[in-house]
Amino acid sequence: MAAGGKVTHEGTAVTVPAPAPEATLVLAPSSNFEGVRSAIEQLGLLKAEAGWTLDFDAGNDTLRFRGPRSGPAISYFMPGQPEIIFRLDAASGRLTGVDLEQFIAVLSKTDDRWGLLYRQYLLRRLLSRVRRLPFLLNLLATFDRGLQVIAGDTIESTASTRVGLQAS
Amino acid sequence: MIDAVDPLGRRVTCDDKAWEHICKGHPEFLDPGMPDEVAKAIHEPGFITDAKQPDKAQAYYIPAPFPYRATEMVKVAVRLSKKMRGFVMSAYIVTAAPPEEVVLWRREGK
Repeated sequence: MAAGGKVTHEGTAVTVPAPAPEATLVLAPSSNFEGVRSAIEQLGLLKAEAGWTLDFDAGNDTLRFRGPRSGPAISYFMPGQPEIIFRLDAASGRLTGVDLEQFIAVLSKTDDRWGLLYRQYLLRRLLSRVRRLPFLLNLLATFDRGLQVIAGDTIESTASTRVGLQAS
Repeated sequence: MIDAVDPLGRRVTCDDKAWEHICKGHPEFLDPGMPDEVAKAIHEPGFITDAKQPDKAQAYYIPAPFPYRATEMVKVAVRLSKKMRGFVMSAYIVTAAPPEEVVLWRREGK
């Protein structure tokens, strides 16, 4: 039923109240600082949870990590380093992605570990092209895990420096 | 797909392929009403910043639509080209603009 009104049932008029406006379903943190803090607390997901993927968008110079349950999200930028953007699920507040913007132009010049991450990513892409060889599947899986850990560690380290939070 | 003129007189566009690309990375923009919100952000922004890349990019901000909270904003990042043209690079739902971004234009009364 879209709106309130009168419903007649066996001759009796019953007033049906108009439904209250739908409550917002957004439960992710409402401030940037809280969002970043929550994201940093959840960085363990990026390092431990299976199914995270890495993709480099050369046109926008952006390295994107996406979790296995990536959906509608709110973005929170890292204070002092707005090129690092955390994505928390709009409904649950769960960490679902990290965008590293201006990756080549800015980030890789600020810390060698970003450069290492990029080189690992390129190597992983190269390996994925020859994945028909069975033993390479295991190697790729190991590479993916390594990339997740390197990314998680680097982001966590940068965050603890920039935000002043103690990385756990 | 999106073709709007901003308050500074710059024409900003986003074709279907670019929009698909944005939605792939930011699926919150798959909502059918979001292309209109992005066009509105460009045409009637609350404020425009330099996106921390003066003369290379701009960011447009407007309050996010329901079901997002009133404090959240749609941010549209636009790459600038010569001849007063711009191309939408990305879009986000954010809670604040980075303080490093310089405000270039602000709607009166905001």
